[in-house]
Amino acid sequence: MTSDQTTAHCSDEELNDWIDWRLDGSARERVARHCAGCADCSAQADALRALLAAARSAPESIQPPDVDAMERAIVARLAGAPSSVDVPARVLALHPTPAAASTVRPARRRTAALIAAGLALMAASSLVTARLVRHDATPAIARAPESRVAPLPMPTVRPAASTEVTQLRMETDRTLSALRAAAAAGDRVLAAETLRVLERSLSTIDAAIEEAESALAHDPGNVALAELLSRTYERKRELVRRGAVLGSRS
Amino acid sequence: MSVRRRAAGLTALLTIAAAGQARTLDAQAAGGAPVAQRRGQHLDADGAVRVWNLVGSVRVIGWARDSIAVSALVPEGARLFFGGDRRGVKVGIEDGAGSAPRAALEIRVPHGARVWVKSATAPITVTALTGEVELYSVSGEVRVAGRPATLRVESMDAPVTVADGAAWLRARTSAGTLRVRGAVDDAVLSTVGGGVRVEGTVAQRARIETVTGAVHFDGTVARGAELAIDTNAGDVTLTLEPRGVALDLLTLNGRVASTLPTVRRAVRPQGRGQAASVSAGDAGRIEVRSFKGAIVVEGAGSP
Repeated sequence: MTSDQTTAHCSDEELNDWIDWRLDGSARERVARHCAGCADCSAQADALRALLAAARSAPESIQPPDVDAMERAIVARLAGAPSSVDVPARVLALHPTPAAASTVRPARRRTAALIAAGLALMAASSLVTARLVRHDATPAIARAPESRVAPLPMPTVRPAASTEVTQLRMETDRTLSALRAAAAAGDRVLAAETLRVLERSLSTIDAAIEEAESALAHDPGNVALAELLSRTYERKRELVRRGAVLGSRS
Repeated sequence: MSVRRRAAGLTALLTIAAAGQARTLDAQAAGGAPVAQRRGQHLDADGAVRVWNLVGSVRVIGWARDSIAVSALVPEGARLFFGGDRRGVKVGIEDGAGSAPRAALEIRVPHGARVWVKSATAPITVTALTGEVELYSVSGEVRVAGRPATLRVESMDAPVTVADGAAWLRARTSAGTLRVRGAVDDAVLSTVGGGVRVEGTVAQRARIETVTGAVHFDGTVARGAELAIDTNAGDVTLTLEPRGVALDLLTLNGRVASTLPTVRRAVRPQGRGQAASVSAGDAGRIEVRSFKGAIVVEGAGSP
């Protein structure tokens, strides 16, 4: 925390965390109190909220004017050839308007730009992912008759195979192993009881994730579905953390 | 004479049997022959109290004194530990490795004390606290009456009831139900399969999350405040005053139904679910996102 509620403004991290519900207890109260009395930080918080709202209300699928041209450009870049990729206009529309941006401090502009860049990257990445998944059996690059580059070995990109998901799986395994070890060592009350409910809840949450992932595979551009899936993963992470806290003797 | 002797003998037998049964029940409740113990000392008005009791029960009551008083019913072989100074006290039942004695704890602390309780199956009851409260229970029921400034409840399987709201509230359980009454300024309520029921006012912002648990909100969202509900498969029921709240509802594979004439449903294109929205100026706002649960909006007071 770097803010002082009377003089110094809230940092970007604090405002972002506040808006994302990640601040707890006194930190949350400090930021809320500061924003209540600071028009500048309050405006920045509103601008960030507006940006997130814009992201939420973005179209569920973004179809660039020429998908094949974009794909060719990506292939060309992969092959080392110079090219430029035009970002679709609707992705650009996710940036704040110049009027809104003018009220944002430089650091906030960077944050906004990072979020917008992230959104653009997500959109492009989703597009590539969707194309790859859709043409899993016959990679698009191999099919392109005009392609002069040799077909590249095409990795199967799947949203569920991300680093975060792998980390979550490892975290889950670690927590379950620790609880099993404690239960086997004789902690029949705390560890065993926690383990029993945790395993049951994980099976419920994993079924929900599987269902949402299956739906997303059929409708990869569905932003609302992707958000729900992301939150379900977040809930699983939170559940595993809670299992570790409740099952420990501290 | 013989009748009198028989009657006296029968009375004596009944008395012995009743006493034996009472002792057996006490012993069952406490895990052995229970021993009453008491401890107490000065404690600052905002002093910290950490309580550890896995099995049995824990009851924490706020009072208008600058001291802590502990009454415990502890089974033979277990020990009540109690230590600290006027800034903080630890209370708990000392257990051997792997065992958890069944003890009943009743603890009185200053209203503004910062209280932390951990249990496994022991129910936790908290009354009349106004400071920071953190309660951790694997499967023991949690009940909070009074209005703490900040309240965190974490559980796996326990039903959780918050009777009078809290300024800042984080309540999470997995299979247990979560029930909140009263006003909350800032709240996150989360379950996996357990249902969530909120009857009260969201003064600033609140979020309710479930995976399969049903959500029922019967209350008001203050002007400028936000309530976000997010579920995978739980049905969501909103019981609202007909005016004064903006709605943004979306279920991807469920249905939206409403008895309020202001809520107009729409089927989204490309088979992407049903949605509904109502604008209401700067009134409170409710957003619901569901994968396959139904969303039902009812007017408050409707049959």
